[in-house]
Amino acid sequence: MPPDFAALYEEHLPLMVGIAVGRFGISETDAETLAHEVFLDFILKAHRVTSVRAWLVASICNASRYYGRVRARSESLPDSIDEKPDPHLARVVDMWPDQLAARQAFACTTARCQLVLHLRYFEEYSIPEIARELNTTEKYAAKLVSECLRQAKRRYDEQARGSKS
Amino acid sequence: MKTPRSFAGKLAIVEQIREERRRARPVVERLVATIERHWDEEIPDEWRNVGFVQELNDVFPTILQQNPGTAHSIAQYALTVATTIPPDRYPSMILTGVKATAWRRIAQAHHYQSDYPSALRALDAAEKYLWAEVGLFEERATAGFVRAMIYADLQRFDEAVTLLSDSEEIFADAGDVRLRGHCLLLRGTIAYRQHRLLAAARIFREAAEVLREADDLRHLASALQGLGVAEIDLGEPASALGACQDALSIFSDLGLTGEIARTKGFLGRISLSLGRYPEARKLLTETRSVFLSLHMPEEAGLAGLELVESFIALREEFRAMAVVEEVIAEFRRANLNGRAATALAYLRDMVSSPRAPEAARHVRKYVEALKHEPERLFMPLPDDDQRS
Repeated sequence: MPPDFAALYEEHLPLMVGIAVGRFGISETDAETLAHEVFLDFILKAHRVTSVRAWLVASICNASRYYGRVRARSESLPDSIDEKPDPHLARVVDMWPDQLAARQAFACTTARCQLVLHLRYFEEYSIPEIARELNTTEKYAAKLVSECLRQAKRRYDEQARGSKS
Repeated sequence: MKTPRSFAGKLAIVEQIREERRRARPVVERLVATIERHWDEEIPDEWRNVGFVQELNDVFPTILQQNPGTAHSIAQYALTVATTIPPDRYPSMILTGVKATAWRRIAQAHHYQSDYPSALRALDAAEKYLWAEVGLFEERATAGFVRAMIYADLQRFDEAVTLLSDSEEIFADAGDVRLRGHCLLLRGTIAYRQHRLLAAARIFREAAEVLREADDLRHLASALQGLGVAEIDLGEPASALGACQDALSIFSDLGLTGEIARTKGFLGRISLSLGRYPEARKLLTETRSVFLSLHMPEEAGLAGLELVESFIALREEFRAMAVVEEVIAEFRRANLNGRAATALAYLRDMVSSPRAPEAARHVRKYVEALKHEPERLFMPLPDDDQRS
């Protein structure tokens, strides 16, 4: 019989939030966010969970520990932060449309080109690394990157013309 | 998209993914057989969802055993589809999770084909996604486990054991007996690689018990295979025979071509050590031809070198010589470690000498070690200069 998720949710959510707040000193708002993520993960993996309570408790502990580690690595911002503009947003008016256009352009290409362009421009793979990933020569990998860029530009332009007409 | 706070919102997402998977299943079944054709087409809109990617990620392990090249392609395709899914359609934890799994699968495909640098590069990409999400600790532990396997192959044992301990803790917390068995299997492999043969045999036996309890036949067979190999090296071919035959029977039931070939190779090695040369020749010829058909030249070469040993024992020097030449050509074509070529050239010169059996064993062990220690230098047999 499939588990009654609603009953499990009602029963365990307060417990998970309590553990994150009480044992790990996490604020209640963040603890609730963690508990919601853990519970979603649980619903997805429920078919292979043998002991629900043990799994949820262990999971909220692991998530809280990881949250603590990530928080410990981050530095608090200076008080004057509100007065200064974010340097990353200085060119945002030019940058965001470009990035959006790049994503849309990549999405018009064949699956092979999407992979190649994703490796090159989102994962920062070098040409030799792309060649290894595609089991081909470096020369061909370089050619493929340029051809895929051309394909993305051509198809994006065609699509833009199509939507205008 | 953020994880919905309401229970109904969460359940709706899970139901949506379940429905996507149900629709994707027959499509993915057909796609696996025709994957290469789809690379030159656009990805249909109805495939761009998490359920579709999860189905691709799930068929990967079985295909890896039958056809590593296709499995690699499937993992790359899963990643490509995942990158086209609009980020506002799922909670970021779910979308990040499927992307990270696709990258981990790519790493596993490279690892299976002994391409360690590419495997580690793909794992870096997987971990980049995983570190950004607090909730995906089991996925992080699994990625850590795969990295530990690669480090074990690269003889970076200390790092492998540290990662393995971290992953074991998470798997134990989740009460996952199956993954505990996988960790034991890796611990046995590390002990074997460190030449702690008695410890390795003990750990493989323990792993076999745990995996039998977890009903994980695929890995139970691997534990039995590991036990068999450790027993061969302990000079107990009769015990090794039983373990390897049990492993072969499970792998055959599961239809895992690569592992069937590998186990037959070990059975060939047992036959060699028991002096059953015609049987060894038959098993090793079969193993070699399967590895060649799976485009695994390194494994095929190693089976070839054991075949050379059996031909030398059968006094069929011309056949032994022909196999050495074939292996040299295959290694050259596959651009494998150049040091192996030096060792193979040495073996070619030694095939007709009275020390041929010894030289064949020596070169085979060297090429085998090269897989895990790529910088190791080849040394001829001791006293070789004085004797010639």
